[in-house]
Amino acid sequence: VKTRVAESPTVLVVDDEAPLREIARRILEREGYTVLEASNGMDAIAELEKAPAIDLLIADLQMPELPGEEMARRCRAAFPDLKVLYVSGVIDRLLNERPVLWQDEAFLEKPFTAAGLREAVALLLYGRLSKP
Amino acid sequence: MPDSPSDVDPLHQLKNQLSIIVSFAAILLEDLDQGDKHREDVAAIAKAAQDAFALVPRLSARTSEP
Repeated sequence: VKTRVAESPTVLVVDDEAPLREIARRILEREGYTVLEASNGMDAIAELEKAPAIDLLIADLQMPELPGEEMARRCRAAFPDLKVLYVSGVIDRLLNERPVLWQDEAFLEKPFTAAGLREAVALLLYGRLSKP
Repeated sequence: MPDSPSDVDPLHQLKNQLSIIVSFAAILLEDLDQGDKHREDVAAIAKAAQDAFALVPRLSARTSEP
């Protein structure tokens, strides 16, 4: 069953590196997405509780304190409709822990291009390569 | 307590820093006109960072050798 996506979907970008959050913000805001940021998993969970209308979580896998996959697991337990895009330079680690991604999850390898991020986000939110 | 920079895997840090260069260069390339004289320079920066990124797994394999 496809869930409805807001006209200007909200994306929460979680990465401990500020420049990487800034890159995602710039790329996605140009496409008309609303972008929120968090620098760690606990802040991301707090952000979701404040703004539950978030459509997509972009999760860096390797973060201090709370790894991205554990953060995403907790977020999806609380918000089952949340879509998740994992971003990492280490695909092996995710595949070891999660050989099969859940529905509404995808993986984007670092370093990503603007087009790569746009396509991955559109695929998760709309099931197509570009925002309608 | 947050991890101090010295606690973080240096290869992971290296990948992150190279990702920043590659991705900002990609954004810049999209913004530059086709005829812009800086396009080749930015493309060279992006390619060098991508090539460096591709070396990281080999570096990782070497550092984990006994």
